[in-house]
Amino acid sequence: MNNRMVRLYGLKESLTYYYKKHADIIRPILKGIISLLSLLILRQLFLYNDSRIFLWMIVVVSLIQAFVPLAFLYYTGTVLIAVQLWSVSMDITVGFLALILAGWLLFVRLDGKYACVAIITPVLFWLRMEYLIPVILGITIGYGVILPVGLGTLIYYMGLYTADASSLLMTTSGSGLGSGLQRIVGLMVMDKKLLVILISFSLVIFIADRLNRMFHESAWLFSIVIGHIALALLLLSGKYIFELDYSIWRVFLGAVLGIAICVVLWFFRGIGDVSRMERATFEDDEYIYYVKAVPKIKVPAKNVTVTRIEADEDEMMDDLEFEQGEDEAAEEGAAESDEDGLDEQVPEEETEEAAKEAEEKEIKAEKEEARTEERETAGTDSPEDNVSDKA
Amino acid sequence: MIDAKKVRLMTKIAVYEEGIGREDLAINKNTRRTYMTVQMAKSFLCLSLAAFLLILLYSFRYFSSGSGTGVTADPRQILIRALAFYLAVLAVGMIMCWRYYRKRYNDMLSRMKQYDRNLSRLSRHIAETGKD
Repeated sequence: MNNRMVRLYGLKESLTYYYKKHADIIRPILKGIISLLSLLILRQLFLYNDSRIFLWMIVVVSLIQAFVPLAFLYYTGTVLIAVQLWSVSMDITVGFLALILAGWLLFVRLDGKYACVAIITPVLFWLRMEYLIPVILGITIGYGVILPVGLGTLIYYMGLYTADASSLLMTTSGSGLGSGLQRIVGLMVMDKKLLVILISFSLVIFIADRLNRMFHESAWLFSIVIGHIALALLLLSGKYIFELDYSIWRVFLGAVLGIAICVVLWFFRGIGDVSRMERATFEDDEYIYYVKAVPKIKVPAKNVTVTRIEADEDEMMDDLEFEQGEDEAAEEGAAESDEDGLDEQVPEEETEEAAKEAEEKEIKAEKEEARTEERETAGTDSPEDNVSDKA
Repeated sequence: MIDAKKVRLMTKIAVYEEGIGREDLAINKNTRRTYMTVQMAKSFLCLSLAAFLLILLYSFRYFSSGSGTGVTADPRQILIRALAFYLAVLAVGMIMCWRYYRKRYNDMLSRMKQYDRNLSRLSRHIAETGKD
């Protein structure tokens, strides 16, 4: 491993250590920031009532959100959007709440841990980072996140079409009950881009999850690369089949950025060093085991020993005493002195500490040698030898 | 003198009982068949309600109001599409729910097994040391 990689792994270890040490402080701060940004962006997406009270409420809710599970964002986001939609049309609000209730019945009821994905998805759409969603969520969470992502996509498009229809609905007093919702639903059903995105994202999440769960040491790399290629191909084929208007360069840029982010994520999760993979075969009464073990790349912590040599006030006196001692020893012929005489100046405590540190270093070096020897002997044993031994 | 082994065992048991053990103990009161039957019945109701809500939302496309008209379509066609959607949601949803609840029950069994093992280790340790 070259120096740059070692430094990167060292940085990763120190960041992980720092996060674990201060997790009680870092996690609430992160949750508060995520909920604040999400609610502010949702407010921007559904900006039909720009009263300042909402801003203060968002700040207060984000502070509370810092100390409750992030899944609670599903409910706070729902309330914010519903309150905003009420200013446009009552039927659109009821339709939105029906959609949220359907989402709750379908997936939040089962496992509400990832319900916040339904609220974070429209936020990422608004930030033009939607192409990062499928593969990252597929490899980190799994195919159970298909429904929340689908609901989030519907919420985003509902926001877009409501923005188009809002000026008409808010000014026209004679519009009948249900006409707003009818218009929104009609537009969403006819929108081929929405259909292509829903199908592509669902397929890519599934593909990325299945590839990631493969029993192979590089399954994570396959899922990241193939997942992004599949996403680009699906979106581009949808563009040409239905003559849609999204740009090709954004799709490729999203794929490249997505691959980079996924690699960084997996780097922090822990990549195995395939070059040091070990294989073993053994059996018991019921099964024969074929085991592949890939060691994680870890950088051992550096043991830095610092020896401080400080100038003492009585250094001159010590020097004189030392010289006198030398003279006396030379006269009596019984004294033993060092070549440089430094030990007599260093206090006894420091010599004991230095001796202990030296002993610890020797013990560690011996242990590392023993480990490398074990690895070498394990590596030289072949499966045939194991089978012949058992036979 | 604090018995470190006893403290460790009791901490593990207490952490489990205060945390996920509450749900596990509630699930463990039922047999696998009873638990799965109840959960699948609940899932059937929730999936039916969710499908109904989505079909209702979709049907607004054909809604005619005073100010505008909806898309016209043959009512039989709409009914067939709604039924097909409902059956698809039900089929996929019930399969996913069945897998989810079966895994949950199996995970609960393995955790309860470990919990029982810890309890027996603790009682053995108390009997050996003769202290309570």
